[in-house]
Formats: sequence, structure tokens, C-alpha cells
Amino acid sequence: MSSSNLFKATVNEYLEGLPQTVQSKLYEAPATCLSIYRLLPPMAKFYIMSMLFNEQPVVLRDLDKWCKPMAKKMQFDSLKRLKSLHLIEEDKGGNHIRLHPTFRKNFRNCLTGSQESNAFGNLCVTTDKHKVDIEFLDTFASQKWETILHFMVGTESTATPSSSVLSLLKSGGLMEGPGTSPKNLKITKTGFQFLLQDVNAQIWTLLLQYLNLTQDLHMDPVDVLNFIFVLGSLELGKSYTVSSLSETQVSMLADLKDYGLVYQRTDSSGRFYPTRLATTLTSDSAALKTPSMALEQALEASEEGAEQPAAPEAPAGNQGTVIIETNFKLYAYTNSPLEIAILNLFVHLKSRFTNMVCGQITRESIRNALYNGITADQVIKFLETHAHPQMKLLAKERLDKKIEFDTSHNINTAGGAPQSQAISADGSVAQHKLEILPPTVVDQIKLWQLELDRIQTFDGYVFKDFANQQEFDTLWNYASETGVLIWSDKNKRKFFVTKEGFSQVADFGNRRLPRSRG
Amino acid sequence: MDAISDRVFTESTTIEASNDDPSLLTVILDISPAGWFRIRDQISIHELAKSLLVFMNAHLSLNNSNQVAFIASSPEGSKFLYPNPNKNYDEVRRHQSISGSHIGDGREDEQAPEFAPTLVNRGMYRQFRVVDEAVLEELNECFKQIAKNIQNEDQKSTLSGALSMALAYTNRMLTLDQSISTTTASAINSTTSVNANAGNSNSNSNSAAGAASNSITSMRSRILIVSANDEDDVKYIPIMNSIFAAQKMKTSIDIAKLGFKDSSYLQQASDATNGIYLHIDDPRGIIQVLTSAFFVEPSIRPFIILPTNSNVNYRASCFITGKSVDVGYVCSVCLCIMSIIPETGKCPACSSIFDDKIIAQLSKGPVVLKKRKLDTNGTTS
Repeated sequence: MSSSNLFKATVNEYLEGLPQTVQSKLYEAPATCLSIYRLLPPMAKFYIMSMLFNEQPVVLRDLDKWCKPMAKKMQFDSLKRLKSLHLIEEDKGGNHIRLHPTFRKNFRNCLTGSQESNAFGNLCVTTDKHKVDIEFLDTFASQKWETILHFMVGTESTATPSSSVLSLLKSGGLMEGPGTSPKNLKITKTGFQFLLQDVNAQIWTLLLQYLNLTQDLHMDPVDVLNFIFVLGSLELGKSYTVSSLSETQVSMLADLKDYGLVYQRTDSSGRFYPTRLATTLTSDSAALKTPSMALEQALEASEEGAEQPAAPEAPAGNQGTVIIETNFKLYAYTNSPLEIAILNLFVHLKSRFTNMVCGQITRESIRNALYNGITADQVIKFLETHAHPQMKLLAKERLDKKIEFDTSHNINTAGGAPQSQAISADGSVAQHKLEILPPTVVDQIKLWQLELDRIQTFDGYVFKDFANQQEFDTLWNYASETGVLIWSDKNKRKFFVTKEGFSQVADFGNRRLPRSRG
Repeated sequence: MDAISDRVFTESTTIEASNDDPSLLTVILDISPAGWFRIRDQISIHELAKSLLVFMNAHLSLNNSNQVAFIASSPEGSKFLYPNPNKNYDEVRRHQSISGSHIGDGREDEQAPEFAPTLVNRGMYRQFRVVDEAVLEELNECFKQIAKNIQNEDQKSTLSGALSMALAYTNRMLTLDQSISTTTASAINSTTSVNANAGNSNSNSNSAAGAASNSITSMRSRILIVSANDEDDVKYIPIMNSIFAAQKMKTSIDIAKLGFKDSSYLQQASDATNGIYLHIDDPRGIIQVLTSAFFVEPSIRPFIILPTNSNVNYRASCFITGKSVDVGYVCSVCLCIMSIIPETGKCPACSSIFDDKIIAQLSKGPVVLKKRKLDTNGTTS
């Protein structure tokens, strides 16, 4: 699972954990509706959209007819997610579902543009005497964020972040140490994992931690969340009025400024600017890649700028620095202490030059990382996003050749058999994956991880003592279709399902086999 | 034991398969007046445009980096309404509301007084507002144009041209850079900006590398054609070429056909590209259809049973007359289809000369043989 999915998962988990009354309050803000919608899985988005302009409640059984049988699991997951967010409501009989009325109203207004005008922040209409441009905002944001990251890896001669950031890092378990002095703080295992994530995921981790803190301070979580989601829909480079914010939100501004999410010239200034960190909060996977790359680029540029003031602007799109060979040797053209510290987590670094480091990925180095709680996927993802442009170029060339080859062989079947089209279309999509890293390295890293967890445990329930084979088959089919089946033995007529799937399978059994159960 | 380990692997792959990449939606609206005039009792093009805007907003709401494009295809020619390379979408625009057709949102009167009236609500989410404003303005312009030239007799459909424009744009978006700034800027501009970057950067390798790293973001795409044109005057060969291009790019072509007849070529287009073809008999409340049946994103397309009709009319059109053929002649060299035998005796596409004997045989009309009288003996004389 990529790290962007991870951050999505954590945000979603938090939202699902909120009590229903809080969730209902959240749906009153159109910006929040939009952001929550964006965080849903694709299938759930499809369901919501098709129910949005449909006045009648939808028959639950009809949903089955929309999807191919192979997508049963996706469908099941989506519905579960929607239910736990209380976005859909079942009627008494459990046969019909409809959207949460407040959510439906506000999301519809948001799409048709008939919501009240300040739902997405109030633009400052007057011109700012101290106008700032996007470039300034980017450097401001990256400086703030960089300070936090550098502090975490313990780079010398960096400024100490503000006390609110420190308490956040501590309460989030990213750093630990006795006393309140920042010098005593040490980075933890989770802290290292944190460093490997991309910027967006990192911000969310901190923001969620912040949310937990605000509950202790008796701030209204709905207000706080709404503000975060509104921030995500603001426009970069525009200023917004403070006066339209609630009291809680004004007090948040100071903290958000410390993280580099917003810029406010003075604390009493009547306007604030969202930075790139804020405006990309609710964007996801691919969208987030670009801004975070841009940010890292800015980070590097500012670093270089600090050391050699005459350095020209950073070349565009040249943010990657890492080259990996098939023999597991790694070269990184970087002198940023941050990046070297991160590489050191899973690479056996051997030599350092003025502008590059060399190292080797070994079983031991990867194992060390794994023991520290870093997953193989995180390592691979990190290497992919930081790969040198030359590696990407090569990978792209290889992929183009492959596609060219395949299409020239497929084109004959294109006209004739429309039925087979669907299968071949998505089949070849899966085939054509861009392999930036050498496949040998990727596989080996994954294998090294598998070495460690040879035993997996699942919580769940076993179904046994079936009256006849047919009864077993019906339930077994159902369980495997919904994807909750973990293990089965046909001869002994036993199977094992996950904890979450138990009630579902049991319900199904009660409905289908009333005679034997009742 | 094996079952357990197998399980783990398959689960992780299904999750991978369903991630949602950003996608590009290109809407092609056929605004040839004749078709819309015919269904004026059911829906006006203004109402449809409103629904389409909401549909595009819905698409943008799926993902922050989703993109839309809007092409109007009129007898005057096809035109990009959004994105438009000559426009700067970043400035705060204070446009005069265009008099005449009034398709903005009903709420436009309630705006803050310091802004000049615009076509859409100012408080709208910015991504939506930019697109909606641009499309509405340009669409009104198009209507004016058409109204001016309505006397012009020569009204041919330009749908095939619009489709090629859409595909060209899609191709550009798939391969070129889609940095966050291009949510407002257009890919049409981005070629120049890439070149500018290349000029700034120190070496050639940098610019090449930049272009390569940008194209890594996997974008998906689809095209929606909304047409009310009942005349079968769509050019067959350009459409077929577009279909093959779309197939190669894995772009689905969805068709929402209004009016009274099915269009066989458009049917073929959606069928060959794994798209959706729906003939909408009653276009009132079309937003429901748009947000349900036509809302199948490329990422979930493999998992959804498409609401499409399987009865596709695979008729081709004659290369000489341009009319569609049910039974006809085929050139044995290039498979060119003809409804009549060419007078020159040559294939109109590849100019290979047909065999005279066969032509003579084919052009020989059916001959009724005289019935010969049967002898009383039962033998022919």
C-alpha cells in the first residue's frame, strides 16, 4: 500500500471513529462534504454520485446488479465505509438505502453552485499593502516544514521549532525524551516511519494529532475539521479574511502558521494566505506527487541557496537524486543531511563525497529498517519517488517499447471481438506498469520482508457442522465472494472467516437457510 | 496452509487495481441547430448545458487533479470552450453578464454588490467556477455565431473533427506534464512553457529528463459525446480512424444520444472503445442519467456492468456515395466498401484495377432464363 493510501486510511479511520452526531454536524459544511467525498474509494464515489440526484431510495439488491461478480469485495468494502461514515441510511426493512439528507443537500448545492457564498472562504476584496506572491509562500511553507523535519533528524545548527510543534511531536510519539527541553528529544521508530512518508501524509499525521489535542482543550472538533477542509479548497496566492472565521478557527491560525500551512504577516493582520501545503491537503495520490515534488525541489533549492548564495534557480523537474543498480548498489546525488539520514535508515552507506553518497542495499540494512517498523513498501515507494530522472527516463523508454510491441500485436483483435475488449483493455493496463526500480531489487526487498513474517494471525470465526454439502457450498460461495473467507477445508466442511465478515455471513446464512437454523 | 499465503497476495493486488488515478473527461456537445430544434418540446440546449456543467463539476469533485475539457461541435466548426489558450483563468474576472440567453444559475442576483454580475455564483468552489464560467460564456458566443449564419444552407456535422480534437488533446494530456498549475492552464499552453523551461535549465538532458518524469503520473481519460443530430451525415472514415486512435490510447468514448434515432456510427464508436451508448428517449431529468449511467470512471470501469445496449448496428458506409451500406461490394485488396461498382473500374481508395471479367459478371443484371417447354416425353428439346 502506498503511503498516500496510508494517510487516506488514517484520516478515514479518524472520521469513522467520530460519533454520529459530530459526523452529521460536519456534513453541514459544503467544503467538508467535498473533501470527505474525495477521500472515499472509487466505488463508493460512484454509488454516492448515482444516488445524489435520484429522489427515490435505492433498492439494496439493485446495487448488486451494477457490479460484476468479481467486484463483490470492492462493493462490500465501499458500502461498509459509507455506513460507518453514516453517509447512507438504511430503512427499517434493510432493503432500501438513501443518502444522509444533510450531506445530500450540501453536496448537491456544492456541485450546482447554490451554496452560501462564504462556504469556501471569504476572499479579501481590498488589495494588500504587503502583497506576497506564490514563490514567497512556497519558500515560507518549505522553510517552516523543513525546520521541523531537520529538527527531527537532529541536524545541527537548525532552528528549534515552536513549542506547540514540539508538544505535537511528543504527543504523537514521533519523538520522546525526558523533560521539556528540546535538546533531550530523540526520534522514535514511528518518527522514522514518519520521515519516509510524503509531505501530505506527514501533515495529516500532525493535523490528526492536533485534533486529538484540541479535544483536550475543549475546542469544537467540528469547527477544527471544517477549517482544515476549507483550507484544502482555498486558492493559492489569494488572501482571505480572518473576520469570517470563528473564534476557534482564529486561534488555530497561529498554530497552522507554525506548521507552514498558512501565512499571516502579523498575528493581528486581518488576512491570511494559504500555502501550497494547505491547498493540497485534500488532493491525493498522483496530485500530491507533484506538489510534494515541487516542495522538495524548493527545499533543496533553499538548502543550496543557503550554502552558495549565487546558486541559480533549481532546474525544473530535477528533484530525484537516487540511482539504484541491479546489483543493489545505490548512488544518491545529494548533500542534504535530511535525505542522507533517511537513506541511512535502510541503506548501508559506504562513502560520502561533496555532492553524493554511495551505498549498498543489503539484507542486513533492510532488516534493520524492518525491525524499526518501516515496511518494504515504504522503502520502495521512497526510492521510486526519489529516483533520478535518468532512471525514470530509461523506465519510460522501456515501457514505450513494450506498449508499442503489444499494441502492434493487439490491433488485429481490436475491430472484431468487442466482448473480449473489456478484458484485454484492463489486462494490458495492468501489464504495462512503469518499472522505475530494477525489478530484482524490488522483489528482493519484498522477499526480505516476507522472511520476517512467516506466521500471520487473523481474528475470526470458524463455521463448521454443516448439515449437508449444499448448505456448506452456499455459505462458502458467499464468503469467498465477499472476500471475508480466510481458510476452508471442503472435506471437513469447515471454513474460517474474518471478524468483520462474521455477522455478514451469519446474516446471510439465517436468511438463506432458515429451516436448518431456525 | 497454501491457501492462507495465496490469500494474502491476491488481496493486496485487488487493492492496487482499484486505486483512483486522476482522469480527464472531454465533453463534446453537438450544437447543430437542426437536431435541437426537433426535440425542442423535450429539452432546450440551455437546460442540457446546465446539466452538463453539473456533471463536469461532479467529475472535478472526484479528485483534486481531475481535468475537464469541453468542445462544442457546430456546423461552423469545432471549438474548445474550455480550456482556451487565449484566456487567463487566474485573474479575478469581472465579466459583464451576456445579455440574451440566460443560462446561469438562478442565484446570480444574490451576489455581493461589489462584484459585477457573473454567470455563476461567486461562492462556488473555484475549480468549478472557472470551468463553468468559461464554458457558459463561450457557449453563448457560439450560439450568437450560429444565429448569425443560420441562413447558410450547407450544414454538415463536424462531430468527427471534434472527436479528433478531443483525442489530440487527450494524447497531449496523457503524455505531457500535468503539474498542479495546469488545473487552470491548458495543455495547449504547456508545450510552450515546457520549452521555456528547457531554455532556462542549463543542459538539454535536464529538459528531456523533466519531460520524462512528468509523464509518469498515470492519467486516464474518457470522452462523452452528447448529440441530438438525427441525420446520418457523420463522416465514416474520420470517425473510424478516431475510434482506432481511441482504442490505442485506451480512451473510452461514451455517447448520450438524444433525438429520435440511433446513430450507428456513434454506436460503433462506443462499442469498440468499451464505452457506454445510451439513447435517451426522454431527456428531462437528464442529470440523473449523467450522474449514474455516465459516471463510470475509467478506474472502476472493469468492475461495473456497463449500462449499454449490445445491439450494435455494424453498418459501414460506402466510400463513393458516403451512404451507409447493408449489402455491398468490397475491394479484395484494401477492403474498401462500395455500394455501387465504380465506373472507372478502379478501387476509389487504393486504385487497384478490378478484373474486367468479374466486373462484367457483377454488373450483369439478373437474367431471367426463358422457361423451356418440356416435351411430353419429359426430355428437353
